[in-house]
Amino acid sequence: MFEKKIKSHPYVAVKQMRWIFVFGVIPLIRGLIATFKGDFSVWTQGLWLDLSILILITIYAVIYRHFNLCIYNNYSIEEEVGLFFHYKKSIPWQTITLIKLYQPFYLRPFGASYIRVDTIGGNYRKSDINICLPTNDALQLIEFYRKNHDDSNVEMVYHPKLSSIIALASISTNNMIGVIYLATFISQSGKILGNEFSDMLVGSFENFARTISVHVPPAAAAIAYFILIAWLIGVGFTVVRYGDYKVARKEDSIVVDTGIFSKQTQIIPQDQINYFYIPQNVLAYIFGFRSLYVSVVGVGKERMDTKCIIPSLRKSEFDKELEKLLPSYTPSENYLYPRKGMFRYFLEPTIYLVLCLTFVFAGSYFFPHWQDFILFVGTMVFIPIVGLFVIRVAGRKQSGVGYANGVYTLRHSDRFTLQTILIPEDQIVQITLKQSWWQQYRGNATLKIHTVSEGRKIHKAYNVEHKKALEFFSLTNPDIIIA
Amino acid sequence: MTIVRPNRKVLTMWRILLVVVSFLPILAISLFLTSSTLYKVGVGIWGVLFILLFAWYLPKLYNSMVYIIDENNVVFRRGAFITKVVNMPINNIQYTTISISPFARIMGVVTLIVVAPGARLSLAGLSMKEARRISKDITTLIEVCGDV
Repeated sequence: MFEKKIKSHPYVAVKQMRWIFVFGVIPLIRGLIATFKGDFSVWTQGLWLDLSILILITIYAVIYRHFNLCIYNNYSIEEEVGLFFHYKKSIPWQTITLIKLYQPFYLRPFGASYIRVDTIGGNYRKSDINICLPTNDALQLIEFYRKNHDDSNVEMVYHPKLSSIIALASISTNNMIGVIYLATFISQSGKILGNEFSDMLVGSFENFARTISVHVPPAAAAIAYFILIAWLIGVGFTVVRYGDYKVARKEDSIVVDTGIFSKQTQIIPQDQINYFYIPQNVLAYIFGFRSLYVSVVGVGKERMDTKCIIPSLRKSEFDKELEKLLPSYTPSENYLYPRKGMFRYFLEPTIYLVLCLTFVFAGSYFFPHWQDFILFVGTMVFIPIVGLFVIRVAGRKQSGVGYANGVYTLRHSDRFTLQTILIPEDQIVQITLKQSWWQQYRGNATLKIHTVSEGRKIHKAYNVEHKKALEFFSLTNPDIIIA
Repeated sequence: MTIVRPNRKVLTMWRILLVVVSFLPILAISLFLTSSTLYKVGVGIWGVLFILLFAWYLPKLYNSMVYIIDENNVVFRRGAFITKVVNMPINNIQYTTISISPFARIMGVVTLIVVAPGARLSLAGLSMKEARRISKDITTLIEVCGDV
């Protein structure tokens, strides 16, 4: 039987050297004591202890790496890890939901890559196997998997346009990345380049905010511009992450290749896909953009994972690309509709609107000197409330459940996002119809669809017609049986 | 069908751990129970408990443990007073892990952990050879189940 054993990359030993920061506190304390006593001879006498600690950690790191192995054969992929507490994990190829090759930009010059393997069992926060290997060996492993378990031909390849990726980055970027980056840059610039540079940077930003703030308090303008710059940085990171993006559909799997500096290849067996979803936030809805994301166990556990299959496109283009790339996942028309109550859709944004207006009027009355700032904050809070209203109106219009070609289509609104979810019927593990006494009186029910997942994953549709839902999902009606 | 009983060394391990852990209650008794009557009562109670655990409960627990692997399930039975039988269908198993702690390494036994979605089974007290064989058998059975 074929079997190959691969030792992990030397970078694993370098990572283990982090224990120096833990045990290095001992020489640090000794140095501090010597400083306070004013007698360095004590410190130099004990230097052997400090050196011993460093040598022991280095030896530990080297031996740890020696015992960190990846072994694969025709049946399974295995990982051996740990020195004192040693684990040998064996994952059959058949149970894999995701296999991923990841080459971070900072390791590419050293020829190192990560192989990640995940299954539906195990820890839902960490991958089941995550090992750093020499890039050549990692590529051979991926090639072996493709030849033995994924040897069907490529049926369709999708290359999104750059404009689509920029649209995705602009609409869906998480501001937090940019904010963290910018805040770190400004605060650390003083340490690296001197306080004068840091003061110059902060001062320049302050002057810029004062210059451009028009009829708005400079402090408020500064915050707004800070977030805007941070957002632009976030957009830049996302464009780089999705650079050179390609999705290939094979008979048995979907392969996603992406990244300019940090490259990654994700192989997802088609029968392991839990569902696809099309989220639309307020901006995407207003401008008519749609993106397709995949939900499968393993994808999304690391920040650099790519869940997006089709980046942002206008509706007509999106429908065309989806039909070509995933013909069995075309969204179907709604059959089951929620009863169109106003209360459920508009109560929450109305409450927020009332609170916002109360804050503005009460704040302006009690703190007249702060009126400008209060009006500004009130306006900024009002904008997302309007967004919420827009989403709720759209949700009320579009919500429902449909079915075609073995795939259920569920449409609903969730906070600030419209969701269209495409669930293969074999991924549904439980359907619940819940009725309050009011819903029983009206003949309605809350529909909950549980899908295969590492944790709990429930999709909901509110206020659907109870009898129609029973018929639609071919469910047993206990009332009839008991009667 | 494979029927496996854990290695006797695992009973020795439990007994050693019991002795080590016993120092804690003995320390507590000697520190906090100062009057001679209370001290004697404390020592007496702990002594009886220790003997019951060492000579009766742990061997009974060990004797109750059995692992069965057939073409459809992995079955684990254990329990001194309340018997627990755990049945894990082969087609739900995702992977197996062989785990070795430093103490277990000295004793020459390993634990085979079998993982399914939302569940895991620990088969303790196996030799490395046995654990590897069972792991391989389970992998083969998963492949057979998948083909069917």
